[in-house]
Amino acid sequence: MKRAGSTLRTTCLGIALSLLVACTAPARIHRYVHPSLLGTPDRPLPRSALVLTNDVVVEGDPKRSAESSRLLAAGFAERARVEVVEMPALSGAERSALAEHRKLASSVSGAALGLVERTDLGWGQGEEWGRRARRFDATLGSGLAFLHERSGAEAIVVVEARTRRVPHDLPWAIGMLEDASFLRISVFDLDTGDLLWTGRRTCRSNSFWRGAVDLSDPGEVEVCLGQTMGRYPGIEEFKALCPE
Amino acid sequence: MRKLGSAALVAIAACGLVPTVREVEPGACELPGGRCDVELPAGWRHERTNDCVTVVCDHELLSQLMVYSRLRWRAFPATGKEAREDMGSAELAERALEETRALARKEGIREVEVLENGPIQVAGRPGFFLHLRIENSSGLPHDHLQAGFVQGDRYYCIWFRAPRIHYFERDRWAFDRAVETVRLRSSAGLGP
Repeated sequence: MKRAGSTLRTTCLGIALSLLVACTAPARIHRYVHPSLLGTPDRPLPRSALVLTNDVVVEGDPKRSAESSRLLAAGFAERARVEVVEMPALSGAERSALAEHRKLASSVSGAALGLVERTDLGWGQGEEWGRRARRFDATLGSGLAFLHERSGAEAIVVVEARTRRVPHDLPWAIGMLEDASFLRISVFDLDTGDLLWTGRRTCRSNSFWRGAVDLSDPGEVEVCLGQTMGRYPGIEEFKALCPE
Repeated sequence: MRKLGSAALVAIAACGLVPTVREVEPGACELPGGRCDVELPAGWRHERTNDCVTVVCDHELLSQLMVYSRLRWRAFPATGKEAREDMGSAELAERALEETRALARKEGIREVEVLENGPIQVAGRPGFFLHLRIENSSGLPHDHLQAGFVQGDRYYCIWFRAPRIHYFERDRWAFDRAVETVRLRSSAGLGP
């Protein structure tokens, strides 16, 4: 009897969670634009870039991760009208400097998008968060300027992506277990380290919502990139969300 | 649906579960508990709890400064050790370091590198100064500064953390300023 009650409670909880999940939009998108791009005249956007895709992981599968990296890099370059420059040969010290900056890039982009997300959600203080997002001078510092000198590229683009898929053969888990994907693209000026633009899309797919989550599928990558980049760089949209 | 979501978030915010925007005003700021005053960086966002004030420059992922006081027998909760007024700065620094190492281990971080460890005067009291380097769970090195001392039945600490690259040098003035300007009140057991 006790066991039946427990099962009933678990089932009810499952249904409630499923409904909650079903009532929530499958994809969430946020974008940040650096303050220097918001002035008049606008700072020009980079026309050439190195692209880092070390943090693209599709279900832990190296082959699909490599395919995803290729699709994302090419898709971004096409939409942003950026020429992709080949990474020059680096010394050990330069490689470790780049690795540390890549980790910092993740924190800086996360911070910028965190402020935009708080602006978007409001939390009763949307305008205040918006002001902080708009004046956030997001940067890596000038520690990667050597890459500009060595490669001639104006920017470095850091692509981070993850896809997770779960089995859908557990009836009680309908809607609770979801496929999910995360995509974040960040464009840093190589001379100054400024985070010029970053966009993030998190998406899930379950029994109720079918969202594009497979970042190794060309069609789904197209959807993901389109949603993440919007009308790149989206200066007016950013100004509207984060007024002065 | 969006309105419902916003309403829920406002309710959560009202319960104090999400960060809020309260900016530090220029001038000296009273530490919760009213035991000391300290100058915090104007314009940074601050959050207060019982005996602690945390200020954040841009976002929690980057530069963060914290000033707190604890009862001296609960000075180091992760190791369960106390701080005493008769302790030398080296002994106090050792306990603070053990505490930092214990907290780092809880987050799965193995290495805490000590870059500097020495005595310092804070609010006219002998204390310790630590400069540490710790990689966070993503492997990004952060530099940590700590200055602490004991007065009466309280342990006081000023703590700063920022990513080693760019942000540490850019923002460490906030820690230096806090150490220079912290002043104990008579309620802190300074005598008549």
